[in-house]
Amino acid sequence: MSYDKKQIKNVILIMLDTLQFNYLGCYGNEKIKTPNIDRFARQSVLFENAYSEGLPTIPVRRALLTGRYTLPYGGWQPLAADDTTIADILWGKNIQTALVYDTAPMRLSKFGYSRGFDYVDFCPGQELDHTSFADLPLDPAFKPEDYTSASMVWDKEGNLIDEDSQHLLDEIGCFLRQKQYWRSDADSYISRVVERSKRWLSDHRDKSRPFMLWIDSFDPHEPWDPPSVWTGEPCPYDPEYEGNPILLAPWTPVAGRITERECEHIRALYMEKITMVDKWIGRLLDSVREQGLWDETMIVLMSDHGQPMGNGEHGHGIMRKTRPWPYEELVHVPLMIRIPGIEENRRIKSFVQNVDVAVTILDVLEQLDSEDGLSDHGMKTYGAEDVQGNSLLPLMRGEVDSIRDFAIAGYYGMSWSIITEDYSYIHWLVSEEEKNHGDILDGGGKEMTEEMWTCTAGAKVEMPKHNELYDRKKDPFQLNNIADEQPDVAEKLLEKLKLFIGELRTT
Amino acid sequence: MFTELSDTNFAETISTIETGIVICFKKLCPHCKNMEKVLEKFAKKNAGVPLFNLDSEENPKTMEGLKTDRIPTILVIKNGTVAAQKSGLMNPKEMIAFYEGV
Repeated sequence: MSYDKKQIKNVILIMLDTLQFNYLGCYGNEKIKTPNIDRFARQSVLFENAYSEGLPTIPVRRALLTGRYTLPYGGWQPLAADDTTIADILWGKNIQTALVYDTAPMRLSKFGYSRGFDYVDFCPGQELDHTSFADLPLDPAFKPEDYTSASMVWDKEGNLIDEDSQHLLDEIGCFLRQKQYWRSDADSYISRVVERSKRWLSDHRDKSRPFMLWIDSFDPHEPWDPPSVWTGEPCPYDPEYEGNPILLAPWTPVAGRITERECEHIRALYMEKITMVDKWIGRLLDSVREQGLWDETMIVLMSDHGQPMGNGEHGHGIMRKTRPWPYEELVHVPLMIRIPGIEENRRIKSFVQNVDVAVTILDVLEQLDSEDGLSDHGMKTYGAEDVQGNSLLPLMRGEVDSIRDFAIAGYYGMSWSIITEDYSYIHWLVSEEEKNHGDILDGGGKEMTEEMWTCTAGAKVEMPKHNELYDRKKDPFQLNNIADEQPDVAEKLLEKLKLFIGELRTT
Repeated sequence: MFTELSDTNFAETISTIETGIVICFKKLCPHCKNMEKVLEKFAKKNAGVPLFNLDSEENPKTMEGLKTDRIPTILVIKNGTVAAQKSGLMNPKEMIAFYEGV
């Protein structure tokens, strides 16, 4: 079967939130069992160097929906009226759209990320809307303190360490109010999202019309609640551990709060959760095949970001996305795309970015040349005029070897990063103090000031002293800053980064 | 595409222009390069509007008169005077709105 655009009727995008690329077999992990995703990788084209640009969850969704970069424009904020999404472009065309999701940030009040989909099915309860269940009675046998480490919550005198301690226990309590009724992994969030997606495919959609189905699963994001936590059996990736299961850890740096052993156990629970997610994704893909959609459907499987998970290469000393740090473990994402007719089991080395995914989908659906206009009743219609990403089709078809020679990543208003084949470089827009103590959402309220986009006569490229440069080949996880040793390289990368982000700002 | 201005001829040239755009720039400034591209796009839709440039480092007197040391700075010239000026980046839509708003 050779590639023929006309033959590709449908698109399924599978977003698995917080799935670190190197925790998958297909990205080289030999310990964690992910047989279904690995099989899908062999049936797809796998992108080895895929990076999300603006972090975290919300900017990634905005970039994915619009095909436009967010880093020069905005961070954690509602979808704007000016944003043109895939769903907006597909309005009034013969493609039905559906969104099945439990990613609560997309459902935040007035954020509007489900705008324009014909069918929307939201499963509540994940982080950020966990309070939906705060009023349910809790079986007294379930105690929040049994699902985290005592030393993370209380000091030696038995006092709560800080305000976050109580918040942590309250959040765990909300999860327990849901999970007290769980009996197996069929009760998990991923299974609900998969089952509801399968149901839309089999029962709800109009089978005479093409479709785009967006499945947005918050799993394997924390809470770290894989089956062993509920069955009371040892975690298969850490059977010797004797402490409490750690459903959640505090939103703080690791030092003085989380031991190395606890970090290791959290990573093991995360591994087990990924294996569970893999099982349900296998069932979803089986269903796509059983329903006869396999040879006429483009399928994208990806994540929005990874996760800092401890010291060193695991997370540079933080657990969870505690700081606006765009390091490798966070910004490098898994991405694989299957398009029937395009040669399977191939790996692409070229840098690609999350903004390219929307553009590729529009290309496959033959919407990339569409323009803004008016319907016959004078209603505004929208085309793909504003996209900034590149279609990945030429790469996937082997027509070109590369579409970018670098990627960018960062947190709006706080950090910009450029990743090249040889180096990675991080430019801090905030002071070292704010870098080390600021929250990841602090950048959301920042204005990109005139100073950021201008310079003065006679001034050289101004490089903050706390900027960071890493040798990407010797030090891919960015542990040894060589900015002082190679200032010329750092300066050139900063100039390249500013030029590119400025170019995005002007398009 | 750009006619170069200097401290020597800036005032005299401007006084003769009915409508035009000037970009104050610096060599090796990445933002100026991006803004030049925006002006090139602007020119395609506004063929009758002449574009000028002024090197900010070589022409400090004019920059002093404009009361800014930041570049890129865009000047909208109308009826022989600087009718509006703005420092920083704009996209093509913003540039057209800036020009038409004067």
